[in-house]
This record gives sequence, C-alpha cells and structure tokens, in this order.
Amino acid sequence: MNELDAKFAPMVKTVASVLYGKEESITLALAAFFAKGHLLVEDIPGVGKTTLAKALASLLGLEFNRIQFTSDLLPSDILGVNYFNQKQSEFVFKKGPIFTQFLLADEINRSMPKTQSALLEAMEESSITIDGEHYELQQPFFVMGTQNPYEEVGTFKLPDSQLDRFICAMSIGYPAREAERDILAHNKPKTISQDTTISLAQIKEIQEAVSKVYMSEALLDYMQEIIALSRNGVYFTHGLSTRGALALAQMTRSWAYLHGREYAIPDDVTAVAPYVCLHRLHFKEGKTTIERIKDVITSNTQPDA
Amino acid sequence: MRYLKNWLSTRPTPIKVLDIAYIITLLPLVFFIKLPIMFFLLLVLILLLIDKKPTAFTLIVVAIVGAVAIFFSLYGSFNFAGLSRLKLFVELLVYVLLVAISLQRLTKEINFYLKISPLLLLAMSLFFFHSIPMLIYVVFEVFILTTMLLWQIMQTNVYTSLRISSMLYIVSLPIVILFFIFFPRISFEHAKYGFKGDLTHRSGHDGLMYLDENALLVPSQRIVMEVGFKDKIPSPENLYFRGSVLYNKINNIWRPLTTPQIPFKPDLPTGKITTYKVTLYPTNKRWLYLLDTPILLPKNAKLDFHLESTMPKPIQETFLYNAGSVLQSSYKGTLPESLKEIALNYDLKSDPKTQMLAQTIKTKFNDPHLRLKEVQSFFKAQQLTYTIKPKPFDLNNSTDSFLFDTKEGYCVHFAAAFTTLSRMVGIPTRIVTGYKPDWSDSIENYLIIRESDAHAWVEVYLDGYWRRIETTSFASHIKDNTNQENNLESFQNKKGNWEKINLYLHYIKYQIDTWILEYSSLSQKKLFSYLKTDTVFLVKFISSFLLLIALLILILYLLNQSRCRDTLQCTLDPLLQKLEKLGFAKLPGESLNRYFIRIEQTEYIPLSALNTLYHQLRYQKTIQNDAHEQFKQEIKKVKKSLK
Repeated sequence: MNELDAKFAPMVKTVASVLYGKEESITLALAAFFAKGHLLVEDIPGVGKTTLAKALASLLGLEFNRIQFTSDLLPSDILGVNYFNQKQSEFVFKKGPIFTQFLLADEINRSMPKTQSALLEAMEESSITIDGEHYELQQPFFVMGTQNPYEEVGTFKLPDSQLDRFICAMSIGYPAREAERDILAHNKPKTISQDTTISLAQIKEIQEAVSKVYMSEALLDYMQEIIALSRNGVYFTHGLSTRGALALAQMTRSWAYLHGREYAIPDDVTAVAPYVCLHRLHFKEGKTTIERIKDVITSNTQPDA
Repeated sequence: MRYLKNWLSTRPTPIKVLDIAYIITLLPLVFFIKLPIMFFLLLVLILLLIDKKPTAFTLIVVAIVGAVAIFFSLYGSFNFAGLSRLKLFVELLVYVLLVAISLQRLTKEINFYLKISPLLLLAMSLFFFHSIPMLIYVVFEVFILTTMLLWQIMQTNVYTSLRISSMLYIVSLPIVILFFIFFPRISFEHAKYGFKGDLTHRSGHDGLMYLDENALLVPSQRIVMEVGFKDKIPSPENLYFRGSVLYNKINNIWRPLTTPQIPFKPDLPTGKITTYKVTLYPTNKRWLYLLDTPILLPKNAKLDFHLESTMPKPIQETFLYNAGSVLQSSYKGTLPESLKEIALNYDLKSDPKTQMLAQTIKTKFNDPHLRLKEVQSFFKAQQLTYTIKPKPFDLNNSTDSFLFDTKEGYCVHFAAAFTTLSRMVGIPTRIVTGYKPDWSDSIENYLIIRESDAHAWVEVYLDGYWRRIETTSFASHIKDNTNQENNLESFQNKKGNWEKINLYLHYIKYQIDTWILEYSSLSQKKLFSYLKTDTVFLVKFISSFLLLIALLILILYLLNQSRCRDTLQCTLDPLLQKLEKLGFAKLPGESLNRYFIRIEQTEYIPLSALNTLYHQLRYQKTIQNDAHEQFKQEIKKVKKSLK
C-alpha cells in the first residue's frame, strides 16, 4: 500500500538519477506540485535544491525560471514593469520572471519583505496586478522557494503568515553514505533525459484526480486528531491554522494518489503531516525538526484505533 | 478550566496524590476526633503551608505537642482498664497514627508508612460509623483511593485511571461480597475478640405496667424489632405480640408473678401455624415477643404457663430468631385455684365507686358471660376518650378516677380499669403487655415495631378459655393531641403518600442496617444457620449470587462491546489478538498498514491482501458488496496459516 503507483514510479526514478537517494523528497515535491501547492525547501546550499528544481521542471515539461533573491531585489524585478515605449508612444508591460510555470525562488529570505510579499501574493492568487492592470499567471504555476535556515546575517525572516502559503516544507539533507560515494565515484549527469515528460493535459488530469481523492470519516477523525494535537498547547506555541489543515488534507490526497489509491489512509496523513507542519509549527522548547514532529504525532495519536 | 484540564492531564507528583488521599480519608474522622487533636492537625497544616523543610527542633516540638494533644483528648477516660473498651482503644490508635503521619509528612519524604496510612485511617474510621451516608462515603472513598493508586502506578491521566478503577470495581464486586460474608467486621456494638462492646438497649415494654407518673412517658419511635413473615402479614386483629403477663397491682404498678408457681402443661392448640423471622434489638430484658398464641420458639427460649416466652438471659445483642404461632384470640387453658385467687384479687380499699358498680352488676347477673357483657357495655357507655396524654389521675383510686372522673387514658388505663372491674365482678382476669404494631407500618411481609407500639390488653378466663379483650376498643373518642400513631384501626388508613415513601425508605434502611451495617459475627452465624436449615433460602442465596456474577459478566461484555464500535474492527480484533499472543504486537502509534507490512516482511505471514481489503473497506468511497465477506475469508486464511 505504500508503494508508488506505476505511473509515478518512473518519474521519481528519473529525477533520482540526478538526485541520488532522495526518493522521498522527490515524491514529496511531486505531491506538492500535484496538490496545486508550492514547496519550500529549507536547506544549506549545495545539497541539490536547484538540481531538484531543474529536474522536476524538465520532467514535467514546464517552463522554468529562476530568481536569485538578493537584498536589493525589487518587486518589479519579479513581477515586471510598465515602461514607456517611445516608438509606440505608450506604456508597454514587460513581463517579469514570474510569468512562468515552474519558478525557483532561490534564497527567498534574502530579499526585503516588500519583495517577498509580491511573490507570495502571486502564489496565493495565481495572478498579479500592476498599475491597475490584471494579469493571470499561466497554469500550472508552481513555486519552489528555498531558504537557508542557518544564515542569519542579511536575511529577512519570512513571517508565519507568509510561510503558510507554502503547502509544505522540507529539507533535502545530506545524501546517504552509499549515495554520496556513488556521486563521488561517477560523474553523473546533471540533467535528466527529456523523453519522460508528461503532457500538460495529463498534469491537469492528475491534479483534478488528486482533488477528488476520497477521505473517509475514519480518516478525517484521525486527521482532526493530529490537528487538535497541534493546537492543545502542550508541545507547540500555536496550532495549525485552517489553511494549514486544508494543506494537510490536500497533501494527504496527493500522497494517496501518488501511491495509486483513490482513497487516503492514515499512513498518507502521517507521511505528509510532518512536512506540512515543519514551517507552520514551533516547538515550545528546542528546534523544530521533521523527526521531532514525527515523534510527537506517532506517540500521541493512534491511527486505526 | 484550562488549568484544571492541564492539571488532570499531567501526571501528579506522589505527594500530591497522597495529600488528596489524606484529605479524603480524614474527612469522616473530623467528625469524632477531639478538639486538641484538631488543633494539632491545624498546626501541622500551617507548618505545611509555610512550606519550609522542618528542622529537628521543629519536629521534636510537633511530636511533643502531638503527645500533649493525645493526652488532653483522652483526658478523663484514659486508664488501662478503659483500653479494653474497643472504642477508646481505636480512638487512641487513630490519634497516635495521626501524630505519626503528621511528623512523617512534615519531612516531605515519602516512605512506606506514609503510603499505607490512608488505608489504615480508612479502616479505623469504619469502627466509628454505622450510618448509610458513611457507607456511601466509604464506597466513594475506596473508589477514589483506587483511582489515585492507579493514577500513580500506571502514570496515566486521570480519565484512564477512573475508567480502570471502575472496571476493577465491577469485577471485584462478587469477591467483595464473599469477603464481606465470611469476614464480618468488628464494630463497637458487636465487639468481639477480647474487647467490650458498647451496647444500647431499646424497649418500649419493660415487663411492668405503670399507672403512676411513669405512665406519662410516651415511648419513642425507635424500632424495637422487625418482623418478616413467611407469607402475608396477618390481619390487625391477630397482630398481638405477647410479652409479659401481669397479675398483681402493687403501688400502682402492675407486675407479673414473681415466681412461676405453676408448671407448664403443653396443651397448646393446633391449627395453621404462621411462621416469621424476628430481629429483636437489644432490650436487656428476657422476654421474647411472639404472636398470640406462640407454638414454635427459638432455641433455648422457654414458654411458661401464662404463655410468656423468655430467654434464660437478658437479650444483650441483636437477636434474630424464627418463631411460629397459631393466630387466635382465645386459647384453652386451665386455671389452678391458686392462680384463680390471684386473678380475682383486687384492692378492697380503693376505688369505692367501681366496687359499688361491681356489686350492682354482680347482684343483677349471675352468669359470668352476662356479667362480662355488662362490664363491656358499661365501658362503652362511659364515653371514654383515648389519648396519649391523659389528665393526671387520683393515684389512690385510679380506676374510679379513670372511669368516672377524667375518662381519658390509653391502653394501660383501659386495661387496668377493665381488669379491676372484671375481677370485682368475679371474672378471673389478667393483663397482657407486649406490642401491637401499626399495620400500616408495614411493606409486603415486613413489619416494623416501634417503642410507641407498646400495648396492653386484657385476658379473661371464661369456660376454660383465656379470651383476649381489646380494651381500647371501648373508647368512643380519640384525642389526637400528638402526631403519634395509636393503635386504633380508625387511624390506620390515614397515612399519606409521604409516609408510605418514608416507610419504604425505612424498609431499605432496615435491610441495609441488618445486612450490611450491623453485619457481625452474630449475623454471620445466623446467616449460616439459615443457609443450613432453610433450603429455599440457600437456593435463593446461591442463585442470586450467581445472578450477580452473570450480571457483572454481562456488564463487562457490554463495556467491551461498546468499545468495539464498528464491525470491521470487531472482525479484525481476534486476528490482532492472536498475532499479539504470538509476540508480534502492534507498536504504539503504528498504523495497521505499517504494522501489516512490518509483520509480513519480518515474519513472512501473508497479510498484504488482508491489508488492502481492510483499507478498502475502511477508507474507500464505494465498497464492493462482497468485500466484507472476502475480508472475513482472508482473516480465516491468515489464521489458518498461523497454525
């Protein structure tokens, strides 16, 4: 029941050919994409964030753009500008890098809050407005934001309200010993072969199917148990918001679908819950990590009671 | 509220649990411990609230204060002879224990003694109370202590411990009942094993009948005895519990014959015997009260010529006995000359008016039947009033005073006057005292007899028969200047619903009293003797016990059922239990899916089909019709493979 569906297993395998031993992260990224959400990757530089993004974009056959966030980055650098075309004697809109399907927002916490919010608004609404002019973004629109959690100097910490717009957060982490040895020994390709892409229609179909994944009463019970656990004030400073709870439901659906089911089971919830909670919850004491959240969930809730 | 919730959900410190246990066990003791000890406890409480670790000096001072408090609490009653009284002994034990606990608690260190002391306090408080509220409180107390213990040992939250302790309660009930039956508790009233008990005596009937100022004492509503009939309660005209038989009036006190002058000849009547069980509370008198005419008596009891039944020794403990009587208002008897003389004796010097009246009747009629009739009609004609509080009499001429002057009185005066008059007209007469219960003071086949039910009536000897005459029935009025019931039938239907409820409550209280609170070694002996002799009772007893066990099993079964909310879980549970028995238990927090996969991988038990089916059944939107059947089949298959 925990095996990937035959449809998705090759996809993950393909991406894994450039990002060794990180099948779970790849699956999660795919789940976030099919859940119509955005993904936040919190990790140090050089563990394969960009590689993952590029591989995913190329796998899904999506137009790819990358913005490197810096402290002097302006909202117009992301969204685009209206400039006066002297030839035509009128204002012409020059689309910014956000007009794409797969956006890698690198080191998102390095820019000013004003710039950050420009991006995050676009993520929520899937549209932007410049000088009263409304522009719809292309569908699908997927943002993979990255931030370095260890860098403090010259960063603007994203407020919780804005972090909430990412459906889930993950860290790629160091590769396992064998995988790393493999990387060191062989000069592996940095890009994936193109022949495994899926069509836009297929993507839309999958996204549609994901939203229709069935969640039974028993499953909702379990999910609410976890939500209540996050809110009881024993472990965390504050609980999951309703948007957070929705994110959990959507990720659960997506995870279930990736595993070839049209219904979700508790394991789907337990699999995605730590990632959904990672950037939303803060432990009262100590650092918030995936392992700790997993531990709290498994020791305090009981699936299939 | 939130604070309380947190407090309940977190694990308490052992000292907190102990404090709660102490508060609960000390509460009943507060009602009897003496003031000096109370002050001592207050002092300890203040020291605890100050919350400072006490120095050796403080502890020594507290110990001295404790000793002084004990001394003053028991001052006056304290001597070594007094210690043979159970009450004093237990009281001393409680005080010593309280001081010892206080000293230990002040050091804030928990040791074994501190842990065991709440139970000791609970056990000791049982000596002091014999009331239903205390019974309920003890049930509650034991429950709370169990919960506390579980709370501490299992280190769970309060809800789990509450649930488990209630389960334990239900399961342990039959065992508790068995223990209760076989090990009666020691109480002050039934002190055994080398201690003196503290007895209270009850009686409304003391064998004599007073016409003087003692007659004005209105007996209380205290219960003297309780009677359970095998069948229905006999009609009121047969409900005469015979006590002493009085012949002589000396100094306005009617007395029984001092020596049993006549040997008893058993010419007892035959007929339908009504049997009944009596619980007679300690009276400190030798009389047993049996219905007219007694036939079957308890062991060691003696029935004499006058149909008085007595025990060889005064009744000092609650006495349970079986008896049987033939219900009749007259019985055949002989009247020896010596007794006839006594039964005709009256004081020639007093009551001139009555004597004159008797003379007229005697000259008018020769036949004793007619004379008796005349006496009876005279009583009726006098328009006598029945009242609990009559006007004072002329004690020198009490019969005259009653019949011609005050014309009011109660059973005693009616009986005395009637006896005097009928003796004057030449009919051998005697007074019988005992109890005539209020028929409305009864439920089903159970009857309460109170002190106020004490009664006196008259027996006349005519044609070889002793005939009972209810002398109060000659009263033409009833003066109800008190709220107390009297023995006239016209009063018996006056009880309202409230009294009826009250009576039922009383009945329940009586049952609890006799069978639970006052259950002693004596009751145990009685119970066992009933069990030995009464086969029906034995069958009833055993079957009700079995019924109780069956009921408990049913409750447990239902509790288990309710936990198994859905059919799917119920179908799967046996398999899970089996796997657990084999040593493949589910880990906490593990989902069934992961559990099945783990077991399949490590133990090679084919569970994947079952796993898929289970999850489809539980989580899929549409379920195939035969999926549940398949699931059952799969479980069977897996079970088979386990063998």
